[in-house]
Amino acid sequence: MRMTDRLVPVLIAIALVMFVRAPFLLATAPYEASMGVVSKIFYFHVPAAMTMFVTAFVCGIASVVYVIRRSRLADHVAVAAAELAVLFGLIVLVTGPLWARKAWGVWWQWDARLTMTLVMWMVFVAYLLLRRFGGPGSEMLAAVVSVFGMALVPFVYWSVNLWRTMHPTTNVLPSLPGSMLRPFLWCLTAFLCFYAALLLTRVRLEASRAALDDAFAAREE
Amino acid sequence: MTVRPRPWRKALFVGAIVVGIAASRALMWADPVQDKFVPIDQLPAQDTLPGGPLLYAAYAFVWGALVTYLFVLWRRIGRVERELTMLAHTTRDQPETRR
Repeated sequence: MRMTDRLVPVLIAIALVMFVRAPFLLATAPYEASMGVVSKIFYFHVPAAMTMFVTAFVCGIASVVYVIRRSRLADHVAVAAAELAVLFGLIVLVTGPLWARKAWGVWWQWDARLTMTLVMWMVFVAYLLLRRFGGPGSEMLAAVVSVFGMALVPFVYWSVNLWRTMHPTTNVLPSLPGSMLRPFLWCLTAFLCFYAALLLTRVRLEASRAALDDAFAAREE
Repeated sequence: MTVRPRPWRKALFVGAIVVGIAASRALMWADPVQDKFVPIDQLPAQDTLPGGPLLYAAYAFVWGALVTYLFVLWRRIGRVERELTMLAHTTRDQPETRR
């Protein structure tokens, strides 16, 4: 049994236990002064966004490695990371408006942070569509698309400081008191453990698919 | 030429004055101008959007999305590994035609 096969159930178990415990920690965490209970969406909206940034970087770096070395493993990692960027991006784009409806009075606002996050999410959707329907040779074009997706991460992160937006700035996190920071770090760890488990599993699926394609190709020759 | 007064015009004029006075009174009573700061915890219940359902909806969506993706991934792996096993069986069972 490979090490990753043993690691995945352990990571999933840790993440599930942490996710089950999370609501109890959030219930005891203090309310934010102006928003009340809905501010607690922050505890899974922000970790999901951070996980999206991490997976965008993983996808971009794996794509660069693929372009330079033509490594199949790097290609499998890039596909897996792109799919997870779409998943965690979806969580960010759904939980954000649920918070905004209460905090801002609207579901959506076309400001810099929200619009750039949507664009970044669509870049990774485009990557997956290219891989699915692009045909032979689309791997290289998709790799370049994912590098653009990775390049968007710093712009999305600093957009709240560079432009005038309604979204809270990046100064919120360092200013959190310990009683709010601890549940936040708990949720962030849960998200990252779950992400690592999903990434390893998805890479394994991609490797199995490639092995299947190779076996069919060898059979037809 | 003399213009004869029309009684309905007089009634319309009086009616308009009565409706105008009533409307201005109603507006004064219905919506008094806010002249002091009102803290959010003192707002009437109908003026505040409840945050609880939005929080539960967000948490349920996160759980739903992650568990659904895990389930779909598990099924995709199962399907590919089944196909790999079938291919291995058919390749083993076939007599070698070329050498």
